[in-house]
Amino acid sequence: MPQRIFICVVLLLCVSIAQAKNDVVYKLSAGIEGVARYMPGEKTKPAIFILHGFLTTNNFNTILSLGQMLHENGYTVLAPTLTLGINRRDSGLACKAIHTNTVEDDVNEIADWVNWLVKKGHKDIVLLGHSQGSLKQLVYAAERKNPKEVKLIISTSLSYIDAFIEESEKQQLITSARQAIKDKNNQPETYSVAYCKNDFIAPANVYLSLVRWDKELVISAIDKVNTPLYVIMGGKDRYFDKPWQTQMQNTKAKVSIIDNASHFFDGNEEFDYHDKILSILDDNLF
Amino acid sequence: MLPYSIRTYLLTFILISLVLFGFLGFQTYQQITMVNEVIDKDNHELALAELKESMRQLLSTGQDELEQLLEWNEVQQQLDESSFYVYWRDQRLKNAYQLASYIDSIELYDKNGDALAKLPYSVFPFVVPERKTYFKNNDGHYSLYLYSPIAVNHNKELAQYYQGNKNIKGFIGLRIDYLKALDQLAHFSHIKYGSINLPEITQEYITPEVLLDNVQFETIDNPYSNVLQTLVNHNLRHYFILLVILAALIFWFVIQFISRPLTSMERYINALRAGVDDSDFDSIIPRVRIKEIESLRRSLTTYQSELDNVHTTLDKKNAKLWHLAHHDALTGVFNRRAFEEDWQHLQELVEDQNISVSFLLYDCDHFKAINDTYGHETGDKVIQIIAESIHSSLRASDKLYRIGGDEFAAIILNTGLREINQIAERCNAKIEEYTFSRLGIKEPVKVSIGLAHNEGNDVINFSELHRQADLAMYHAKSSPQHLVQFSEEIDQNNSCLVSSRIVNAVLDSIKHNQNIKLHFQAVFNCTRKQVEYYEVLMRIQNDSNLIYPKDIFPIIERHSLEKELDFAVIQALRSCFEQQSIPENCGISLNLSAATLVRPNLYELFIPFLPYLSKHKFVLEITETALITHIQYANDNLEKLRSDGFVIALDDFGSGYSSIRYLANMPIDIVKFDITMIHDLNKNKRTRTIIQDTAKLVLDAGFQLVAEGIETEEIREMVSEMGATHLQGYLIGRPMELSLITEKK
Repeated sequence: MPQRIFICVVLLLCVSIAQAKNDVVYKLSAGIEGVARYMPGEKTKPAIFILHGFLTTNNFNTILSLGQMLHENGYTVLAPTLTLGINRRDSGLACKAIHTNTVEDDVNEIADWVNWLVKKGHKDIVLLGHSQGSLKQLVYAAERKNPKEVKLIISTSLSYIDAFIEESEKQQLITSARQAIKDKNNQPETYSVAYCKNDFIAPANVYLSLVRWDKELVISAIDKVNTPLYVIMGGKDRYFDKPWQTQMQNTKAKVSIIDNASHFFDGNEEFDYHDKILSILDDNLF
Repeated sequence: MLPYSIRTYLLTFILISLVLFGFLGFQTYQQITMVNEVIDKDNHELALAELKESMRQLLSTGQDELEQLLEWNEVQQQLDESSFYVYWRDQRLKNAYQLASYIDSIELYDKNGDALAKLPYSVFPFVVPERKTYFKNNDGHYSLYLYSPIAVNHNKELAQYYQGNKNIKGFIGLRIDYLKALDQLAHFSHIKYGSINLPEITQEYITPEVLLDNVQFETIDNPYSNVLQTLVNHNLRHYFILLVILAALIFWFVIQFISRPLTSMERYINALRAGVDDSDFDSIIPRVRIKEIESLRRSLTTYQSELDNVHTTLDKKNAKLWHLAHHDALTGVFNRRAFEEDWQHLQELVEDQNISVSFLLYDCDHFKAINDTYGHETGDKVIQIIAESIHSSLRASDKLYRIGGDEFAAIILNTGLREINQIAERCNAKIEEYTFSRLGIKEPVKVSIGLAHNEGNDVINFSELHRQADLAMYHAKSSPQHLVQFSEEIDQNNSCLVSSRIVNAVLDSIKHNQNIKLHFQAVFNCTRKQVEYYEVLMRIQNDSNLIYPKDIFPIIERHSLEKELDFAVIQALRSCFEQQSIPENCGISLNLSAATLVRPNLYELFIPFLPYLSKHKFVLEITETALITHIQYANDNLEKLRSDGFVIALDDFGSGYSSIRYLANMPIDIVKFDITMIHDLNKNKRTRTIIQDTAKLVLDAGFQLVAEGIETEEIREMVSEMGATHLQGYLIGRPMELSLITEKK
């Protein structure tokens, strides 16, 4: 056991060092700078735009291991950290932090990074997201004019915003938010978003921009996407109940379920997760 | 210097010991205190150093906190988008970031240095001050204010840090509660917890140095010095208490086992001396019995008992001795010593009181003849009978003394003359009644009594009593009643015999060995036709007169001072030899009394003359009567003297009786015919024949024959014909002083 810990520490250190060497700072359209990890790969292979989940960063374990795996397989990897309104954000944001970015703001950042890849000369771009990163990339793909370079979308652990909130409570919060907007009250209030139960601090507009992405809207966004869309879900993902599975499978997205995998595809299921992604990439001749 | 008791010495010793210990203890305490002061001073210095270090640490920690805050994305978020800054600062900051409890507040400023929110209750200035590190007094609470610029590219890993405002994105200010921070950050080893206090400092911006200069605190006492001092104090107190207890114990012990037993021994000894009854000793013996003291007490008791016995024995012996010393062995009556003492006492009594004193002097008539005739044993019996007779005639309260060989005295007080006379007459009657013929004495034995009476406290007359009684007794001898009372008439008729002046002169001379005058009468050697030696004849110088032997010898005889007289003459003669007054080859003849002849140290008297014997013939003349009493002692002394060269002459040959019998046994060399015998040559033919035959006998026996009393030529011729070898008399030479002999030589 100590040996494993030592190895992990060494690896993390290596990754940090490597990370430090591959970090990119990019002034975004919002006027602030974002940070991303960029690992160029084989020129014949596409660039994989990996996006992290809710309030985390590109250092999240799932993202890190994905990036490493893909890079080892010759793929170019770009894994930015959404600023969430914070210049050069490099650490996770707490639920109780004041959240100032709307989904649209995040999507704008995604667009910025895609454009960055394009400017970098990448002809083939794959959007690979995890959790809310998948959602935001889906929103980008569904509601923005995607460059032609975006060839594939792989959404893993794709879920909706209000997965853990009761409907009645949600409605109440929505009503409250709408009232605040009506009142031109821009003060941050406490909401429940995703796992931030009653401690998500944000102005009303930010909350509303998130909470609207319920099941229906997500399904609707899937249907709007023109780019091939693959969805990989964990069989043991709490966010993924049976109804949602059915709803997903009824869309044009190609849904894969990795049994016993959690929302984060950790443990032994990570290999299946990685294999699946590689398989999807191979299938699409990347 | 008066002695002090054991208690006093012990108390003094204990007091001195306690004072000494107290002094040493105080010194130790003083030294410990001094050491503590040094330690306190060092402690203070160390505390100051700690305080400085804490300040450094606080500033460093504050800077670290600032650095960490800068790393926090939300700080950057607020600088980029400060719409929700107040909420973030006042709400989010408290809940989200793990700020140290000593950090009161944070303030963010834009790049111009203006606070993102200028609220009236803000504890920070609205504009970043020039001084980036300072303290401020907020109503008695001192807070540390730290400010740091926030660079545009705050992440040092992403971009380089640029100097100058161009690259400043904003500022962050931090307010730290100084005391709270100290409490959490600093660990003081030398400053007492909670003792740090900051006085009022009026400066607006207080530098750390100024703050440090004003900080007040209490140092933590050095536990070791405190412990040591406490220990020393504790121990000193304990030792002092122990010493006091020990002193008390020693005091009690010494008092109980030494002082009190000694005191009880003293009381015991005093009780023994006082003769306390044994049953009372229990109260004296102490309750604490000590073996050695008990042993001593027993020894003392035994010793005391033995001492008592010895005292009793001594008392008895003393009493016996006194009795012996004051009583005549032969008769049992008081002796002369007792008489002298009582007479002295009586003299003192007469001086003080008006008492009459009667003095009776008893003398046995012709006692010498009785003694000579019938022997000492008979003579002793006569004396005993006389003493018994006198004693029985006296009253029980009257005391009888034997003051001489045959002389008795009685002192009777406060009695009339008539009764005194009756007493005397009773005595004579008793003596007369006794049949002395039982003792073989054919002659009548009579006692002559002289009576002298002193009426009242006439001291002068009292001192004359003895002389008066003596005179009276002398006259009583020729009185038919043999009893005479002194009267003035008697006194007038007997001035010479018992002249007190002459008696005093003689007695004084003998007593002080002075005024002895030696005259020398030549003894002529018929063969050599020259004076061979001189007979020493003593006189006593009495003022300008000389007292001659006829007056001297009765006094001497009466007072039994024969030995003293001989001794005085011998000393006077010795002086003549030592002064070389005796001409060379001049012989000396010295008379010795019977008393001197039998004294044990007779030989030692003549040792000083031994060196002169080679040049001086030394003749010792003794009388027959001197030999009769103790012939053996006399023989022994004379033999010893003869062996050294002294010549012995028998003086007054023919004056006594049984002369011929002694000649054969006496160690003599010369026989001296006395004057009466020489003068008897002219008496008649028969006497002349006897004398001549006696002379021939003496000469044929080998003795030298000295004829005394040669006063005429006729007598000289007769004695020469008789064959006398030596002649002595007025015709040959009168007694003369030594100086005259020397001139003649």
